[in-house]
Amino acid sequence: MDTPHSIFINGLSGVFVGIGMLYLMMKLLAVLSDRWAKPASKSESGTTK
Amino acid sequence: MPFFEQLGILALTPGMVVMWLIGLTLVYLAVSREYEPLLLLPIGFGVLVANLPLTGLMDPGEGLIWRFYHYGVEWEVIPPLIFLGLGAHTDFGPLLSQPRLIFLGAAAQGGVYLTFFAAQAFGFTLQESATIGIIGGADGPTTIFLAAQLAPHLLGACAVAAYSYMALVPIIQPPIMRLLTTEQERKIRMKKARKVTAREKLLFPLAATLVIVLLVPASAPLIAMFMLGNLFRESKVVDRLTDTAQNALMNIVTIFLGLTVGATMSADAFLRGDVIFIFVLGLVAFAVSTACGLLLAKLMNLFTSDKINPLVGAAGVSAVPMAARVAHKMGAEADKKNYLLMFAMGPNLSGVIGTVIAAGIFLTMLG
Repeated sequence: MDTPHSIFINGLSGVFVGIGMLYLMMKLLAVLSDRWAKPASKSESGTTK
Repeated sequence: MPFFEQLGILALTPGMVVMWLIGLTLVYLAVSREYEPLLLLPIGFGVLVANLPLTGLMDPGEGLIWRFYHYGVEWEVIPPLIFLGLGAHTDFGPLLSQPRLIFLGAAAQGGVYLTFFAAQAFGFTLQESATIGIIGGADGPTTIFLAAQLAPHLLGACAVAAYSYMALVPIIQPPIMRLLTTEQERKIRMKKARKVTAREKLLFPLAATLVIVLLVPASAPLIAMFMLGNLFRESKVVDRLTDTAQNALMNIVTIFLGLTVGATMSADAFLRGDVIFIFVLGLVAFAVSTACGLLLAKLMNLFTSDKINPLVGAAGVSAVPMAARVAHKMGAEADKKNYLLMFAMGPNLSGVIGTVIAAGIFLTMLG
């Protein structure tokens, strides 16, 4: 049986773990996005030349 | 049975008349003050008709509104459909451009859990306490979703409390924000955020669904529909679906949601001493959530040179976009050229996600 204390601690820490994972995922998306953007801009400049 | 013995007026009770007044007050607030009119208007009318005697509208298995309630709310259909529409309306750009602000939405769930703790100390069961606590998330559909599963007898009171406090954000939050911040802090100008690519926005709903549902499977009905709506929007290839989710579908389910929530507020279910506690504790939850988001922003400022205006932390309660607008307005009062709206939208959106995660955890542990 879950006690109020365990629900409080598990709940609050669970929310922070979930949000923390989303934070890492967003950072990863940002890094990948930068990488995808660089080759694209290189090929664009190549075409211009 | 003679017709005159079946007159509704003969079965009228004083409690029903009191509920009419409550229903009419909600209609008045919706029409005259425009407090969350899309919800409070049908809720107010639902309260009125559910407290007309001998109608049988909420009779289990037979009543018309009972059927809306049973198949729409008890079967967990309507709140996820509302989330589909919300997702189709949501631009995650402000959050993706400043990922660190996502933690402010998590901190704002502090009010949910502290109030959960307080409610059970006042004698509510764990399930009832969780339902009362989630009011602090200031997210109507999530409150209804959780209440329908954990404490259906509190659904009407908790939903009305949640929507009322959402409407009262511009009144409840500013005193707390002034109390916990200095003039200098309110003047902090945040650095311009980086540009977010369309590909990032497209990948976010897919990745977020995987991350959140893998961690908290019980949050899947709300998160999956929220992110599906957002995927419609960001894919830019299903404009018709996006439009339907944003408008027609959202409007249809809002009618049924409001009416059924109002109809759960019968006199015998609503006119009880513990309902007053629900409203008081709900207000406490909302105030503490506001304070927690704000205080985490101040704490983060101790460890970073790129300062966060603490006002945006108060937007960590959901109440989209009202809470973000209030943060922006307060910032502009301190410094006319301080434009906080886009920064405040980040915590505001993470507050929605945080509240759904909190509800999912409650369901996992208490459902």
